Amino acid sequence: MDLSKLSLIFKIVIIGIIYMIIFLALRIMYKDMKNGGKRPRNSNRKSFGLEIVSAGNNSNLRTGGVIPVRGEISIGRKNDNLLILDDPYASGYHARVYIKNNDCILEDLGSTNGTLLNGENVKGRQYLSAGDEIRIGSTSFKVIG
Amino acid sequence: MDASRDEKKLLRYTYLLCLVCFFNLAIIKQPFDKGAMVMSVVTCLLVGYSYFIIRKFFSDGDKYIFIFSSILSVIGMVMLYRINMAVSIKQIIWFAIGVTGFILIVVLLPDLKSFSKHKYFYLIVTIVFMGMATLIGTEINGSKNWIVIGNYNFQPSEFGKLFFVAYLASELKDYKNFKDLIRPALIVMLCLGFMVLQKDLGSALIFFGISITMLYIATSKFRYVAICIGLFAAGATISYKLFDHVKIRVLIWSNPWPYANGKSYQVVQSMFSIASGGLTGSGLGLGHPEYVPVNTTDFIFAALCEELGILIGFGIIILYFLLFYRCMRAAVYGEDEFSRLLVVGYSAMIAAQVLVIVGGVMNAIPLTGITLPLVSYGGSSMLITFFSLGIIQKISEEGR
Repeated sequence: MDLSKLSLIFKIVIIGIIYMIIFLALRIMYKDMKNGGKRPRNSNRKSFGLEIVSAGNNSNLRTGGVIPVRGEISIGRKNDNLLILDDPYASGYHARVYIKNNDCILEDLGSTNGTLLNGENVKGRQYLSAGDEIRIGSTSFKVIG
Repeated sequence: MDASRDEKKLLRYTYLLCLVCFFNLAIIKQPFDKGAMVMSVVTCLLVGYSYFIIRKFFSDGDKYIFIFSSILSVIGMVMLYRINMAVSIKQIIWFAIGVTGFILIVVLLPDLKSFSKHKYFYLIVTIVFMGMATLIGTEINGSKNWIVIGNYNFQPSEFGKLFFVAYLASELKDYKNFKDLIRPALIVMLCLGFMVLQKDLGSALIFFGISITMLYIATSKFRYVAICIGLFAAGATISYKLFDHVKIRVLIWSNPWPYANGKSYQVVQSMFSIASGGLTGSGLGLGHPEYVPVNTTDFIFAALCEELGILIGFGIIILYFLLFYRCMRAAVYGEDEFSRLLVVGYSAMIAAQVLVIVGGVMNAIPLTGITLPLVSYGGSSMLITFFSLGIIQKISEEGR
């Protein structure tokens, strides 16, 4: 086969592949739009939970109960938190616990009385591992993973 | 696991593209060129391994950013191998360094929020990088924006861009009223002034594009954008009157044909080669990209259009658009104002570069010599693009 026929075939194949890539990418974009931009969560990722060790004076928490951590949990005294603490020592928006890249992270949101992780004050963000104890005001949690 | 199946499919097509293109290059040479096949396998391994690392350890980030940028780099590498083998081997090394930088940024960079504090540091670094070439620069290809250290030359304004965006993001995140805009406006004007003095009009255009996009995103007031465009028009007119190199650029843009053998030689050759390629191109290795000057950097788009046709040219523009879309998506889901503005700035930087050079090569806008990000040969451009994509990737992890 001479060279010009051969490169005609190659030409068409290369153009085909490029437009195939574009077509696939557009379909992925379409799916993404239809999901409303929600990220498809991997199903085999690790899951974390917070076990309530002592409920303090919160009437809505029960000792021994487990709060599963999916995505993000915000903790504080104000009503728009996911986990509302009825505790005079908790700040309005006290802390948050969230998952990123298979790690569970605790972040103190500049609370007045601080968040204790294993007895030490948390500044900024801290990685959590199973068995850690978080204390906010009179309430304490244990991380289970 | 639906998402990762889509990613792998795209990645398989990337490998296929790489193998087919290099196989084509290998077969047109007599005897069969083994070097091309080695290049293709090395590229595939690099892309595959980096994707594996990103997916394994940073599964929350947006992996399409990396996939699209590697497709574009593969196209660039193929064309460079066709034009000049030695350059393409250097380019693959730069690609490896760029990808390493990308992964290192994703791994090592702690939390981006804390970076918003160092406003004055960014300010100083930006001005130092911008001014550096004006004072101690050397002139290469008509622009005095190169610094030569030993054997290696680089453009400080490329690195300045990174800090420029960081500065604007940290300044504009606290925007409340008009007074907050005066200082950033002065800095932007200073940078544009330096660029015009260095005869680097392409970078000036990019800086303007970045700052106007970030301004609109931060304030969402059309009035400011209109004022900026007015100021830019005034500045452009003044520099047209004052500087000869600006006049020449506009002259050869409005009518390149009378100067085809002199001043407008580059752009006329580039238009000839795009036109001779036609819809599907002449086929790899059968065109004459050697007639186009500086065909490995500024005019690589013309060479691509000649050998692979304008269809591939459109394809590349669409791929850039998709990359831009993925980047802006990270901005939409970004957590705080600083990281959002940072992403907007970096993606505007890449988009503006593509528009300026593609428009310039086709003589749609006055030609200014800058590189086509990821595709054309250039160490600093490759590094900068991968660094900014790495930061965008990092931010895309945070959003949900």
